[in-house]
Amino acid sequence: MAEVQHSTLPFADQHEPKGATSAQAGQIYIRTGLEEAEFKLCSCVQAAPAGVSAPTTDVVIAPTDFTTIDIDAEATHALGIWTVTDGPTITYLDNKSGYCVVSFSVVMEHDDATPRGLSVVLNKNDVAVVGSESTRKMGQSAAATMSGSIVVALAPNDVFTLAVKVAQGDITVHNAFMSIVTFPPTD
Amino acid sequence: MPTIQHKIIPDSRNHPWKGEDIVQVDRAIYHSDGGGSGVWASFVNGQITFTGNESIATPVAYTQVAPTFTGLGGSVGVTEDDHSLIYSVFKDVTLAIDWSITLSHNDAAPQDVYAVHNQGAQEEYEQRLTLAQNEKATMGGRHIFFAGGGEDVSLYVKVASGNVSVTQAVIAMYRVF
Repeated sequence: MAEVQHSTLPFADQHEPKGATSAQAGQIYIRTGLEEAEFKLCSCVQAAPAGVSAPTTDVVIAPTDFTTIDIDAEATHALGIWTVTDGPTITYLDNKSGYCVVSFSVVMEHDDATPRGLSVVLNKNDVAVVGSESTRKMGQSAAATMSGSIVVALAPNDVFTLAVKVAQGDITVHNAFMSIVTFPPTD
Repeated sequence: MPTIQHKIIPDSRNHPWKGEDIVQVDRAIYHSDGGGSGVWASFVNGQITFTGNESIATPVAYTQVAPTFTGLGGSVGVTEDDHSLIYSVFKDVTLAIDWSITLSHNDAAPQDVYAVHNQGAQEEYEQRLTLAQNEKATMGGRHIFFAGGGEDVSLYVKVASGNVSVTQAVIAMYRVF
């Protein structure tokens, strides 16, 4: 067998990187420490309520303090280690910590005769994410789209929900959705 | 020649990362194919913008916003055609769309103005705002979807009464894997 320098091995003789045989499809090779690298998953999830444009499925609540939106949800796109349940509630199931960017939007109105501030906030584990609150003062039965996008630290079993409030009157939620994109895990 | 353990071969004597020397220069992400091999993949990103004043006559049903978008930022794996942003690579990937639109209507009475993009179910991702006559507002959002290649993204608006005036619109697309 002829001798070949390791540095000039042809494509056919090059081996796959360490860990390739056990990696899941779509995992990316990321440096994880000194002279260490692993295949890790970047993932995203998106949850939206099903069929909420029909008036019969609008959701009416009277939340003078932030109250979780309780509407049927479905995962329209889920990749990796996420689960979506009604609420909509999105749960991160991986055992790695990291960061993610959460985008959300709620279309709603209130029925009080006086113009009121409508607010929406992103909750992580039932605690408001600082900086995620949006507010808009609206007249009676005037529809408002409230939305936001924020980077959030991510830990195993974190649960994301949306909550809304108004000082007085009922809120009608016409639709709502969340999408989450993770950055590579850090541990 | 001295024997050396494979795991401590220095960079100067190492061969390129498998496939590194034959892939296109913009294929910068190495990921698993799930079958024991790795694949080099492309970034995807592009953006089109519009600023001006595009009038749409009473769009009672959803009507495409079709101004002449200017510029195509990024443009890796993305093209622009007929007022749309198109994913031009024919390979299954996960894409995100960021979109926004600034508009008003000229009806004397307040009207609900709707905006949406054409990927995904319209009812679930549409935005809505009640605007007084000539009151201007911006709506938009992010949407994630699977793409196999050739998908186009464009924006649509509707209002029950009055003409809609669009003064700004942005569509951005990028790969989230």
